[in-house]
Amino acid sequence: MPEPIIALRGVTKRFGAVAAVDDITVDIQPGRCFAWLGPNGCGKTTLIRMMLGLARPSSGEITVRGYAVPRDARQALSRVGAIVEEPRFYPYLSGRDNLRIWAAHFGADATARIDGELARVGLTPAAGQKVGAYSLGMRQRLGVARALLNDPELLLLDEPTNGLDPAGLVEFRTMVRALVAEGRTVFISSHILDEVERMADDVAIIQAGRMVSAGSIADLTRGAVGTIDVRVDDPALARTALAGLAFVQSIDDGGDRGRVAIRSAATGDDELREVADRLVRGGAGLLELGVRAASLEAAFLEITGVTPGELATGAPSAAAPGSGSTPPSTPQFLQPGKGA
Amino acid sequence: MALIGFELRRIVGRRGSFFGVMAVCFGFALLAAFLVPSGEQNAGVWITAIGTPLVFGGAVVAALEGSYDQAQGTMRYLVLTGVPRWRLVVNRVPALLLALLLIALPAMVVGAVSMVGDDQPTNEIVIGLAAGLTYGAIWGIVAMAVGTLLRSNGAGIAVALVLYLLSTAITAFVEAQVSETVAEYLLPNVAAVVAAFGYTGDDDFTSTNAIPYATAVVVLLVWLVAIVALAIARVQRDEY
Repeated sequence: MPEPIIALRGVTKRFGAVAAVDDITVDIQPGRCFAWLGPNGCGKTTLIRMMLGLARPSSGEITVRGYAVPRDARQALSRVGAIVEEPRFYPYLSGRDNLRIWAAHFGADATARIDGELARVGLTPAAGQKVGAYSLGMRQRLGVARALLNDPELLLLDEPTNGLDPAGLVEFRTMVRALVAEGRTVFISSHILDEVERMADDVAIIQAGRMVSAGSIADLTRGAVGTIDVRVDDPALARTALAGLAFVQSIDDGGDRGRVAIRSAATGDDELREVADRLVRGGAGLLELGVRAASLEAAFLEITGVTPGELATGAPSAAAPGSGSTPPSTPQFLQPGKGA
Repeated sequence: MALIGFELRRIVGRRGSFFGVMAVCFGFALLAAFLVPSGEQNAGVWITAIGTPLVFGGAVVAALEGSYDQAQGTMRYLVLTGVPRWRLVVNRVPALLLALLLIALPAMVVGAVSMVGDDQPTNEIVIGLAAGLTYGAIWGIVAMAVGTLLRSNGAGIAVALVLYLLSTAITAFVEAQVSETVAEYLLPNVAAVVAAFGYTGDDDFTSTNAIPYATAVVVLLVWLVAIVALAIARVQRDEY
Protein backbone atom coordinates (compact mmCIF):
# COMPACT_ATOMS: atom_id res chain seq x y z
CA MET A 1 0.00 0.00 0.00
CA PRO A 2 1.44 3.44 -0.88
CA GLU A 3 2.30 5.96 1.79
CA PRO A 4 -0.79 7.95 2.77
CA ILE A 5 -0.80 11.46 1.36
CA ILE A 6 -2.53 12.64 4.52
CA ALA A 7 -2.14 10.93 7.87
CA LEU A 8 -4.04 12.15 10.91
CA ARG A 9 -3.27 10.72 14.33
CA GLY A 10 -5.53 11.64 17.25
CA VAL A 11 -6.10 15.14 15.89
CA THR A 12 -8.12 17.29 18.25
CA LYS A 13 -8.98 20.98 18.14
CA ARG A 14 -10.58 22.58 21.13
CA PHE A 15 -12.14 26.02 21.42
CA GLY A 16 -12.39 26.39 25.17
CA ALA A 17 -14.33 23.42 26.46
CA VAL A 18 -15.75 22.57 23.04
CA ALA A 19 -13.95 20.02 20.88
CA ALA A 20 -14.61 21.11 17.29
CA VAL A 21 -12.51 18.20 16.07
CA ASP A 22 -12.19 15.28 18.42
CA ASP A 23 -9.52 12.60 18.19
CA ILE A 24 -9.51 12.01 14.44
CA THR A 25 -7.26 9.23 13.18
CA VAL A 26 -7.32 8.30 9.52
CA ASP A 27 -5.04 7.68 6.53
CA ILE A 28 -5.93 9.07 3.13
CA GLN A 29 -4.45 7.26 0.18
CA PRO A 30 -3.04 9.09 -2.85
CA GLY A 31 -4.71 9.13 -6.23
CA ARG A 32 -8.26 8.92 -4.93
CA CYS A 33 -11.16 11.24 -4.21
CA PHE A 34 -11.80 11.29 -0.49
CA ALA A 35 -14.92 12.93 0.91
CA TRP A 36 -15.30 14.27 4.41
CA LEU A 37 -19.02 14.09 5.00
CA GLY A 38 -20.96 15.67 7.80
CA PRO A 39 -23.51 18.30 8.71
CA ASN A 40 -22.65 21.99 8.81
CA GLY A 41 -20.77 22.90 11.97
CA CYS A 42 -19.42 19.40 12.58
CA GLY A 43 -15.76 20.39 12.28
CA LYS A 44 -15.06 19.79 8.60
CA THR A 45 -13.56 23.20 7.89
CA THR A 46 -11.59 23.25 11.14
CA LEU A 47 -9.96 19.98 10.18
CA ILE A 48 -9.08 21.27 6.71
CA ARG A 49 -7.59 24.43 8.22
CA MET A 50 -5.41 22.30 10.48
CA MET A 51 -4.29 20.12 7.58
CA LEU A 52 -3.23 23.30 5.76
CA GLY A 53 -1.34 24.75 8.72
CA LEU A 54 -3.82 27.62 8.97
CA ALA A 55 -4.82 26.49 12.46
CA ARG A 56 -2.91 24.56 15.09
CA PRO A 57 -4.29 21.33 16.53
CA SER A 58 -4.75 21.22 20.28
CA SER A 59 -3.28 17.72 20.18
CA GLY A 60 -2.44 15.00 17.70
CA GLU A 61 -0.23 14.78 14.63
CA ILE A 62 -0.86 15.74 11.03
CA THR A 63 1.31 14.62 8.14
CA VAL A 64 0.72 15.90 4.61
CA ARG A 65 2.84 14.55 1.75
CA GLY A 66 5.18 13.11 4.33
CA TYR A 67 5.78 16.43 6.11
CA ALA A 68 4.57 17.30 9.59
CA VAL A 69 2.06 20.15 9.65
CA PRO A 70 2.24 22.87 10.88
CA ARG A 71 5.99 22.43 11.57
CA ASP A 72 6.97 21.79 7.95
CA ALA A 73 3.90 23.38 6.39
CA ARG A 74 5.89 25.19 3.72
CA GLN A 75 7.30 21.96 2.26
CA ALA A 76 4.03 20.11 2.78
CA LEU A 77 1.99 22.74 0.98
CA SER A 78 4.35 23.36 -1.91
CA ARG A 79 2.17 21.09 -4.04
CA VAL A 80 -1.17 21.40 -2.29
CA GLY A 81 -4.08 23.47 -3.56
CA ALA A 82 -7.06 24.43 -1.49
CA ILE A 83 -10.37 26.18 -1.15
CA VAL A 84 -11.24 26.85 2.48
CA GLU A 85 -14.82 27.88 3.35
CA GLU A 86 -15.18 29.91 0.20
CA PRO A 87 -12.82 31.21 -2.43
CA ARG A 88 -11.88 34.82 -1.73
CA PHE A 89 -10.35 37.21 -4.24
CA TYR A 90 -9.68 40.87 -4.87
CA PRO A 91 -13.05 41.90 -6.32
CA TYR A 92 -11.70 45.00 -8.01
CA LEU A 93 -9.28 42.98 -10.14
CA SER A 94 -10.07 40.68 -13.04
CA GLY A 95 -10.04 36.92 -12.65
CA ARG A 96 -6.83 36.71 -14.65
CA ASP A 97 -5.14 39.48 -12.61
CA ASN A 98 -6.13 37.70 -9.42
CA LEU A 99 -4.50 34.51 -10.66
CA ARG A 100 -1.40 36.49 -11.66
CA ILE A 101 -1.06 37.69 -8.09
CA TRP A 102 -1.24 34.19 -6.65
CA ALA A 103 0.97 32.77 -9.37
CA ALA A 104 3.60 35.38 -8.49
CA HIS A 105 3.59 34.01 -4.96
CA PHE A 106 3.91 30.42 -6.19
CA GLY A 107 6.64 31.11 -8.76
CA ALA A 108 7.23 31.30 -12.49
CA ASP A 109 5.86 27.84 -13.27
CA ALA A 110 2.52 28.86 -11.82
CA THR A 111 2.32 31.93 -14.03
CA ALA A 112 2.69 29.71 -17.07
CA ARG A 113 -0.27 27.61 -15.93
CA ILE A 114 -2.78 30.45 -15.65
CA ASP A 115 -4.32 30.15 -19.11
CA GLY A 116 -4.53 26.37 -18.93
CA GLU A 117 -6.27 26.39 -15.58
CA LEU A 118 -8.68 29.12 -16.64
CA ALA A 119 -9.58 26.96 -19.63
CA ARG A 120 -9.94 23.87 -17.45
CA VAL A 121 -12.55 25.54 -15.25
CA GLY A 122 -14.28 27.16 -18.22
CA LEU A 123 -13.51 30.73 -17.24
CA THR A 124 -11.44 31.85 -20.21
CA PRO A 125 -14.21 34.05 -21.65
CA ALA A 126 -14.78 35.76 -18.30
CA ALA A 127 -11.12 36.00 -17.28
CA GLY A 128 -10.97 39.71 -18.08
CA GLN A 129 -14.03 40.60 -15.98
CA LYS A 130 -13.67 41.93 -12.47
CA VAL A 131 -14.19 39.21 -9.88
CA GLY A 132 -16.69 41.48 -8.13
CA ALA A 133 -19.04 40.81 -11.04
CA TYR A 134 -18.63 37.02 -10.81
CA SER A 135 -21.39 34.77 -9.53
CA LEU A 136 -20.62 32.47 -6.61
CA GLY A 137 -20.32 29.58 -9.03
CA MET A 138 -17.77 31.49 -11.12
CA ARG A 139 -15.78 32.33 -8.00
CA GLN A 140 -15.80 28.65 -7.07
CA ARG A 141 -14.39 27.82 -10.49
CA LEU A 142 -11.77 30.54 -10.15
CA GLY A 143 -10.96 29.13 -6.72
CA VAL A 144 -10.33 25.73 -8.26
CA ALA A 145 -8.16 27.36 -10.94
CA ARG A 146 -6.13 29.10 -8.23
CA ALA A 147 -5.84 25.84 -6.30
CA LEU A 148 -4.37 24.19 -9.40
CA LEU A 149 -1.76 26.86 -10.12
CA ASN A 150 1.03 25.09 -8.21
CA ASP A 151 0.35 21.78 -9.98
CA PRO A 152 -0.85 20.18 -6.75
CA GLU A 153 -0.56 16.53 -5.84
CA LEU A 154 -3.30 17.13 -3.34
CA LEU A 155 -6.38 19.33 -3.58
CA LEU A 156 -8.35 20.17 -0.46
CA LEU A 157 -11.73 21.57 -1.40
CA ASP A 158 -14.10 22.72 1.31
CA GLU A 159 -17.73 22.55 0.16
CA PRO A 160 -16.59 23.14 -3.42
CA THR A 161 -19.98 22.82 -5.08
CA ASN A 162 -21.63 25.66 -3.17
CA GLY A 163 -23.24 27.99 -5.65
CA LEU A 164 -22.89 25.73 -8.68
CA ASP A 165 -25.94 25.29 -10.87
CA PRO A 166 -26.94 21.76 -11.99
CA ALA A 167 -24.87 21.98 -15.15
CA GLY A 168 -21.97 23.32 -13.14
CA LEU A 169 -22.30 20.43 -10.71
CA VAL A 170 -22.00 17.90 -13.50
CA GLU A 171 -18.97 19.73 -14.92
CA PHE A 172 -17.41 19.90 -11.48
CA ARG A 173 -17.86 16.18 -10.88
CA THR A 174 -16.31 15.45 -14.26
CA MET A 175 -13.42 17.75 -13.46
CA VAL A 176 -12.79 16.11 -10.09
CA ARG A 177 -12.74 12.67 -11.67
CA ALA A 178 -10.37 13.97 -14.35
CA LEU A 179 -8.05 15.35 -11.67
CA VAL A 180 -8.07 11.99 -9.93
CA ALA A 181 -7.38 10.29 -13.27
CA GLU A 182 -4.31 12.54 -13.57
CA GLY A 183 -3.02 10.95 -10.38
CA ARG A 184 -3.94 13.77 -8.02
CA THR A 185 -5.64 13.23 -4.70
CA VAL A 186 -8.80 15.24 -4.16
CA PHE A 187 -10.09 15.75 -0.64
CA ILE A 188 -13.53 17.34 -0.51
CA SER A 189 -15.72 18.20 2.39
CA SER A 190 -19.42 18.24 1.86
CA HIS A 191 -22.78 17.91 3.51
CA ILE A 192 -24.44 16.76 0.28
CA LEU A 193 -24.77 12.98 0.24
CA ASP A 194 -25.69 12.58 -3.38
CA GLU A 195 -22.74 14.65 -4.50
CA VAL A 196 -20.31 12.65 -2.40
CA GLU A 197 -21.71 9.35 -3.60
CA ARG A 198 -21.23 10.36 -7.23
CA MET A 199 -17.81 11.92 -6.84
CA ALA A 200 -15.84 10.16 -4.15
CA ASP A 201 -14.03 6.84 -3.91
CA ASP A 202 -13.70 6.94 -0.15
CA VAL A 203 -15.67 8.70 2.52
CA ALA A 204 -15.37 9.49 6.20
CA ILE A 205 -18.44 10.44 8.14
CA ILE A 206 -17.92 13.04 10.83
CA GLN A 207 -20.42 13.94 13.46
CA ALA A 208 -20.03 16.42 16.31
CA GLY A 209 -16.30 16.59 15.61
CA ARG A 210 -15.73 12.83 15.72
CA MET A 211 -15.25 10.44 12.86
CA VAL A 212 -17.93 7.80 13.17
CA SER A 213 -17.15 5.82 10.04
CA ALA A 214 -14.66 5.65 7.20
CA GLY A 215 -14.18 3.48 4.18
CA SER A 216 -14.83 3.19 0.50
CA ILE A 217 -18.34 4.05 -0.68
CA ALA A 218 -18.78 0.39 -1.59
CA ASP A 219 -17.75 -0.71 1.89
CA LEU A 220 -20.09 1.73 3.55
CA THR A 221 -23.13 0.92 1.48
CA ARG A 222 -22.49 -2.82 1.66
CA GLY A 223 -23.26 -2.83 5.34
CA ALA A 224 -26.27 -0.54 5.13
CA VAL A 225 -29.89 -1.59 5.10
CA GLY A 226 -32.05 -1.30 2.00
CA THR A 227 -35.66 -0.36 1.70
CA ILE A 228 -38.58 -2.37 0.29
CA ASP A 229 -41.25 0.02 -0.93
CA VAL A 230 -44.82 -1.21 -1.21
CA ARG A 231 -48.17 0.39 -1.97
CA VAL A 232 -51.14 -1.29 -0.34
CA ASP A 233 -54.85 -0.71 0.17
CA ASP A 234 -54.54 -0.80 3.94
CA PRO A 235 -51.23 0.30 5.52
CA ALA A 236 -52.38 -0.64 9.01
CA LEU A 237 -53.06 -4.22 7.93
CA ALA A 238 -49.69 -4.25 6.17
CA ARG A 239 -47.93 -3.31 9.37
CA THR A 240 -49.71 -6.12 11.21
CA ALA A 241 -48.94 -8.62 8.48
CA LEU A 242 -45.23 -7.80 8.42
CA ALA A 243 -44.78 -7.82 12.18
CA GLY A 244 -42.33 -10.45 13.32
CA LEU A 245 -40.35 -10.80 10.10
CA ALA A 246 -36.75 -11.19 11.18
CA PHE A 247 -35.19 -9.12 8.42
CA VAL A 248 -37.56 -6.15 8.84
CA GLN A 249 -35.96 -3.44 10.93
CA SER A 250 -38.64 -0.76 10.79
CA ILE A 251 -41.85 0.06 8.97
CA ASP A 252 -42.87 3.55 7.95
CA ASP A 253 -46.53 3.63 6.88
CA GLY A 254 -46.81 7.40 7.00
CA GLY A 255 -46.52 7.83 3.24
CA ASP A 256 -49.43 9.06 1.15
CA ARG A 257 -51.72 6.90 -0.96
CA GLY A 258 -50.95 3.70 0.98
CA ARG A 259 -47.19 3.79 0.51
CA VAL A 260 -45.19 1.87 3.10
CA ALA A 261 -41.39 1.88 3.42
CA ILE A 262 -39.92 -1.25 4.97
CA ARG A 263 -36.29 -0.87 6.09
CA SER A 264 -34.80 -4.28 5.65
CA ALA A 265 -31.48 -5.92 6.55
CA ALA A 266 -31.69 -7.81 3.24
CA THR A 267 -33.52 -7.04 0.01
CA GLY A 268 -33.03 -10.26 -1.98
CA ASP A 269 -35.65 -12.24 -3.84
CA ASP A 270 -36.47 -14.36 -0.79
CA GLU A 271 -37.23 -11.30 1.29
CA LEU A 272 -39.37 -9.75 -1.45
CA ARG A 273 -41.30 -12.99 -1.86
CA GLU A 274 -41.87 -13.22 1.88
CA VAL A 275 -43.11 -9.63 2.09
CA ALA A 276 -45.47 -10.08 -0.85
CA ASP A 277 -46.82 -13.32 0.56
CA ARG A 278 -47.44 -11.82 4.01
CA LEU A 279 -49.20 -8.77 2.56
CA VAL A 280 -51.47 -10.84 0.32
CA ARG A 281 -52.30 -13.33 3.04
CA GLY A 282 -52.80 -10.54 5.56
CA GLY A 283 -55.39 -8.87 3.32
CA ALA A 284 -53.47 -5.60 3.00
CA GLY A 285 -54.12 -5.47 -0.74
CA LEU A 286 -50.71 -5.37 -2.43
CA LEU A 287 -50.66 -2.90 -5.36
CA GLU A 288 -46.96 -2.19 -5.92
CA LEU A 289 -43.67 -3.59 -4.67
CA GLY A 290 -40.12 -2.38 -5.30
CA VAL A 291 -36.65 -2.21 -3.83
CA ARG A 292 -34.38 0.70 -3.07
CA ALA A 293 -30.84 -0.64 -2.85
CA ALA A 294 -28.67 0.42 0.04
CA SER A 295 -27.21 3.85 -0.69
CA LEU A 296 -24.76 6.14 0.99
CA GLU A 297 -27.79 8.02 2.25
CA ALA A 298 -29.09 4.88 3.92
CA ALA A 299 -25.66 4.13 5.32
CA PHE A 300 -25.32 7.66 6.62
CA LEU A 301 -28.75 7.56 8.20
CA GLU A 302 -27.98 4.27 9.82
CA ILE A 303 -24.62 5.38 11.15
CA THR A 304 -25.52 8.84 12.36
CA GLY A 305 -29.26 8.93 12.71
CA VAL A 306 -29.15 12.24 10.84
CA THR A 307 -31.60 12.64 7.99
CA PRO A 308 -30.52 14.21 4.70
CA GLY A 309 -32.56 17.30 5.61
CA GLU A 310 -30.79 17.66 8.93
CA LEU A 311 -27.49 17.09 7.19
CA ALA A 312 -28.15 20.00 4.85
CA THR A 313 -29.21 22.39 7.57
CA GLY A 314 -26.80 21.23 10.21
CA ALA A 315 -29.69 20.74 12.65
CA PRO A 316 -28.88 18.34 15.44
CA SER A 317 -30.55 14.97 15.39
CA ALA A 318 -32.34 13.43 18.32
CA ALA A 319 -31.20 10.08 19.64
CA ALA A 320 -28.76 9.69 16.82
CA PRO A 321 -26.56 6.65 17.04
CA GLY A 322 -23.08 7.90 17.57
CA SER A 323 -24.14 11.49 18.02
CA GLY A 324 -23.89 13.87 20.92
CA SER A 325 -21.40 13.23 23.64
CA THR A 326 -21.05 9.49 23.21
CA PRO A 327 -20.23 8.70 19.62
CA PRO A 328 -19.00 5.23 18.77
CA SER A 329 -15.36 4.93 19.66
CA THR A 330 -14.43 3.37 16.31
CA PRO A 331 -15.87 3.60 12.83
CA GLN A 332 -18.34 0.88 12.04
CA PHE A 333 -17.06 -0.22 8.66
CA LEU A 334 -13.34 0.37 8.61
CA GLN A 335 -11.01 0.91 11.47
CA PRO A 336 -9.61 4.42 11.15
CA GLY A 337 -5.92 4.61 10.51
CA LYS A 338 -5.98 1.36 8.55
CA GLY A 339 -6.39 3.07 5.23
CA ALA A 340 -9.59 4.67 4.15
CA MET B 1 10.42 42.43 -6.44
CA ALA B 2 7.53 40.79 -8.24
CA LEU B 3 5.62 40.40 -5.01
CA ILE B 4 6.17 44.06 -4.16
CA GLY B 5 4.92 44.97 -7.63
CA PHE B 6 1.76 42.95 -7.14
CA GLU B 7 1.28 44.45 -3.68
CA LEU B 8 1.45 47.87 -5.35
CA ARG B 9 -0.98 46.61 -7.99
CA ARG B 10 -3.48 45.79 -5.26
CA ILE B 11 -3.11 49.21 -3.65
CA VAL B 12 -3.59 50.99 -6.96
CA GLY B 13 -6.48 48.64 -7.77
CA ARG B 14 -8.45 50.07 -4.85
CA ARG B 15 -9.05 53.06 -7.03
CA GLY B 16 -11.35 55.00 -4.75
CA SER B 17 -8.79 55.41 -2.02
CA PHE B 18 -5.73 55.64 -4.26
CA PHE B 19 -6.96 58.18 -6.80
CA GLY B 20 -9.11 59.98 -4.24
CA VAL B 21 -6.09 60.76 -2.08
CA MET B 22 -4.07 61.63 -5.17
CA ALA B 23 -6.76 64.12 -6.23
CA VAL B 24 -6.92 65.73 -2.80
CA CYS B 25 -3.12 66.12 -2.63
CA PHE B 26 -3.14 67.59 -6.12
CA GLY B 27 -5.92 69.99 -5.20
CA PHE B 28 -4.09 71.21 -2.09
CA ALA B 29 -0.93 71.71 -4.14
CA LEU B 30 -2.85 73.78 -6.69
CA LEU B 31 -4.30 75.91 -3.90
CA ALA B 32 -0.83 76.51 -2.47
CA ALA B 33 0.60 77.35 -5.86
CA PHE B 34 -2.14 79.80 -6.78
CA LEU B 35 -3.25 81.30 -3.46
CA VAL B 36 0.07 81.82 -1.69
CA PRO B 37 1.86 84.79 -3.21
CA SER B 38 5.05 84.16 -5.08
CA GLY B 39 8.03 84.61 -2.80
CA GLU B 40 6.11 83.54 0.29
CA GLN B 41 5.93 79.86 -0.51
CA ASN B 42 8.24 78.63 2.24
CA ALA B 43 8.71 75.12 3.56
CA GLY B 44 5.79 75.40 5.96
CA VAL B 45 3.38 76.19 3.12
CA TRP B 46 4.38 73.12 1.16
CA ILE B 47 4.38 70.86 4.16
CA THR B 48 0.81 71.92 4.77
CA ALA B 49 -0.06 71.62 1.10
CA ILE B 50 1.36 68.14 0.57
CA GLY B 51 2.14 66.70 3.98
CA THR B 52 -1.26 67.22 5.58
CA PRO B 53 -3.43 65.61 2.88
CA LEU B 54 -0.80 62.91 2.36
CA VAL B 55 -0.74 62.01 6.05
CA PHE B 56 -4.55 61.86 6.23
CA GLY B 57 -5.04 60.15 2.87
CA GLY B 58 -1.95 58.03 3.23
CA ALA B 59 -3.23 56.72 6.54
CA VAL B 60 -6.41 55.59 4.79
CA VAL B 61 -4.51 53.90 1.96
CA ALA B 62 -2.00 52.34 4.33
CA ALA B 63 -4.46 51.11 6.94
CA LEU B 64 -6.48 49.54 4.16
CA GLU B 65 -3.37 47.85 2.87
CA GLY B 66 -2.65 46.47 6.32
CA SER B 67 -6.11 45.17 7.07
CA TYR B 68 -7.64 44.40 3.68
CA ASP B 69 -6.45 40.82 3.22
CA GLN B 70 -7.69 39.88 6.65
CA ALA B 71 -11.07 41.53 6.12
CA GLN B 72 -11.47 40.18 2.60
CA GLY B 73 -10.46 36.62 3.55
CA THR B 74 -7.59 36.56 1.05
CA MET B 75 -4.91 36.39 3.75
CA ARG B 76 -5.35 32.65 4.23
CA TYR B 77 -4.81 32.09 0.52
CA LEU B 78 -1.66 34.23 0.59
CA VAL B 79 -0.42 32.19 3.56
CA LEU B 80 -1.14 28.98 1.64
CA THR B 81 1.23 30.00 -1.15
CA GLY B 82 4.12 29.13 1.14
CA VAL B 83 5.59 32.64 1.11
CA PRO B 84 6.73 33.23 4.70
CA ARG B 85 4.19 35.20 6.66
CA TRP B 86 6.73 37.80 7.77
CA ARG B 87 7.55 38.47 4.15
CA LEU B 88 3.91 39.09 3.31
CA VAL B 89 3.95 41.92 5.86
CA VAL B 90 7.41 43.26 5.03
CA ASN B 91 6.50 43.46 1.33
CA ARG B 92 3.79 45.91 2.25
CA VAL B 93 6.31 48.56 3.33
CA PRO B 94 8.12 49.22 0.02
CA ALA B 95 4.84 48.82 -1.87
CA LEU B 96 3.26 51.44 0.36
CA LEU B 97 6.17 53.83 -0.07
CA LEU B 98 5.95 53.46 -3.85
CA ALA B 99 2.19 53.99 -3.72
CA LEU B 100 2.58 57.16 -1.64
CA LEU B 101 5.19 58.44 -4.06
CA LEU B 102 2.78 57.86 -6.95
CA ILE B 103 -0.04 59.51 -5.03
CA ALA B 104 2.10 62.56 -4.27
CA LEU B 105 3.59 62.79 -7.75
CA PRO B 106 1.05 65.17 -9.34
CA ALA B 107 1.24 67.45 -6.30
CA MET B 108 5.04 67.33 -6.41
CA VAL B 109 4.93 68.36 -10.05
CA VAL B 110 2.82 71.37 -9.09
CA GLY B 111 5.37 72.19 -6.39
CA ALA B 112 8.24 71.83 -8.84
CA VAL B 113 6.52 74.12 -11.31
CA SER B 114 6.06 76.71 -8.54
CA MET B 115 9.80 76.89 -8.11
CA VAL B 116 10.04 78.60 -11.45
CA GLY B 117 10.52 82.28 -10.81
CA ASP B 118 13.38 84.39 -9.54
CA ASP B 119 11.83 85.33 -6.22
CA GLN B 120 10.83 81.82 -5.19
CA PRO B 121 12.63 80.24 -2.20
CA THR B 122 13.52 77.07 -4.12
CA ASN B 123 15.37 75.46 -1.26
CA GLU B 124 12.40 75.85 1.07
CA ILE B 125 9.98 74.46 -1.45
CA VAL B 126 12.17 71.38 -1.94
CA ILE B 127 12.38 70.86 1.79
CA GLY B 128 8.65 71.37 2.12
CA LEU B 129 7.87 68.82 -0.57
CA ALA B 130 10.34 66.30 0.84
CA ALA B 131 9.06 66.84 4.36
CA GLY B 132 5.45 66.37 3.25
CA LEU B 133 6.32 63.13 1.53
CA THR B 134 8.34 61.92 4.50
CA TYR B 135 5.52 62.69 6.89
CA GLY B 136 3.12 60.73 4.69
CA ALA B 137 5.52 57.79 4.55
CA ILE B 138 6.15 57.67 8.30
CA TRP B 139 2.54 57.86 9.34
CA GLY B 140 1.55 55.59 6.47
CA ILE B 141 3.86 52.87 7.76
CA VAL B 142 2.40 53.35 11.24
CA ALA B 143 -1.15 53.09 9.87
CA MET B 144 -0.31 50.00 7.81
CA ALA B 145 1.38 48.24 10.72
CA VAL B 146 -1.41 49.08 13.17
CA GLY B 147 -4.01 48.02 10.58
CA THR B 148 -2.22 44.67 10.27
CA LEU B 149 -1.68 44.35 14.00
CA LEU B 150 -5.27 45.09 14.99
CA ARG B 151 -6.76 43.63 11.79
CA SER B 152 -8.76 46.82 11.47
CA ASN B 153 -8.77 49.60 8.92
CA GLY B 154 -10.35 52.07 11.34
CA ALA B 155 -7.87 51.34 14.10
CA GLY B 156 -4.95 51.85 11.75
CA ILE B 157 -6.25 55.21 10.61
CA ALA B 158 -7.20 56.32 14.10
CA VAL B 159 -3.91 55.46 15.79
CA ALA B 160 -1.79 57.08 13.07
CA LEU B 161 -3.86 60.25 12.95
CA VAL B 162 -4.21 60.64 16.70
CA LEU B 163 -0.44 60.34 17.10
CA TYR B 164 0.08 62.79 14.24
CA LEU B 165 -2.48 65.35 15.33
CA LEU B 166 -1.58 65.22 18.99
CA SER B 167 2.15 64.96 18.43
CA THR B 168 2.89 68.41 19.83
CA ALA B 169 0.64 67.87 22.81
CA ILE B 170 2.04 64.42 23.51
CA THR B 171 5.60 65.62 23.29
CA ALA B 172 4.88 68.63 25.49
CA PHE B 173 3.10 66.51 28.05
CA VAL B 174 5.94 64.00 28.30
CA GLU B 175 8.44 66.84 28.38
CA ALA B 176 6.64 68.43 31.33
CA GLN B 177 5.62 65.31 33.22
CA VAL B 178 8.37 62.82 32.51
CA SER B 179 11.55 64.09 30.98
CA GLU B 180 12.70 66.34 28.21
CA THR B 181 15.04 63.64 26.96
CA VAL B 182 12.31 61.02 26.78
CA ALA B 183 10.10 63.48 24.91
CA GLU B 184 12.78 63.94 22.31
CA TYR B 185 12.82 60.23 21.57
CA LEU B 186 9.08 59.87 21.13
CA LEU B 187 7.87 58.83 17.71
CA PRO B 188 6.03 62.09 16.89
CA ASN B 189 9.09 64.16 17.74
CA VAL B 190 11.69 62.08 15.90
CA ALA B 191 9.30 61.92 12.94
CA ALA B 192 9.19 65.74 12.89
CA VAL B 193 12.96 66.06 13.26
CA VAL B 194 13.65 63.59 10.45
CA ALA B 195 11.04 65.13 8.16
CA ALA B 196 12.58 68.59 8.71
CA PHE B 197 15.80 67.52 6.96
CA GLY B 198 17.73 69.90 9.19
CA TYR B 199 15.50 72.85 8.30
CA THR B 200 15.74 75.58 10.92
CA GLY B 201 13.96 78.45 9.22
CA ASP B 202 11.29 80.71 10.64
CA ASP B 203 8.68 77.98 10.26
CA ASP B 204 10.72 75.32 12.02
CA PHE B 205 8.05 72.66 12.50
CA THR B 206 9.80 70.45 15.04
CA SER B 207 8.69 70.68 18.64
CA THR B 208 12.17 70.26 20.03
CA ASN B 209 15.30 69.99 18.03
CA ALA B 210 17.88 69.03 20.59
CA ILE B 211 18.28 65.51 19.33
CA PRO B 212 20.93 65.17 16.60
CA TYR B 213 19.58 64.43 13.13
CA ALA B 214 21.39 61.12 12.71
CA THR B 215 20.16 59.96 16.11
CA ALA B 216 16.63 60.97 15.20
CA VAL B 217 16.84 58.88 12.02
CA VAL B 218 18.02 55.84 13.96
CA VAL B 219 15.39 56.27 16.67
CA LEU B 220 12.69 56.71 14.04
CA LEU B 221 13.78 53.52 12.30
CA VAL B 222 13.71 51.68 15.62
CA TRP B 223 10.17 52.91 16.22
CA LEU B 224 9.00 51.86 12.76
CA VAL B 225 10.75 48.49 12.85
CA ALA B 226 9.24 47.83 16.27
CA ILE B 227 5.72 48.64 15.11
CA VAL B 228 6.09 46.55 11.94
CA ALA B 229 7.60 43.73 14.02
CA LEU B 230 4.49 43.73 16.21
CA ALA B 231 2.38 43.39 13.08
CA ILE B 232 4.58 40.53 11.87
CA ALA B 233 4.28 38.81 15.23
CA ARG B 234 0.51 39.00 14.98
CA VAL B 235 0.48 37.55 11.47
CA GLN B 236 2.97 34.83 12.46
CA ARG B 237 0.80 33.52 15.25
CA ASP B 238 -2.66 34.13 13.85
CA GLU B 239 -4.89 31.32 12.63
CA TYR B 240 -6.62 31.84 9.31
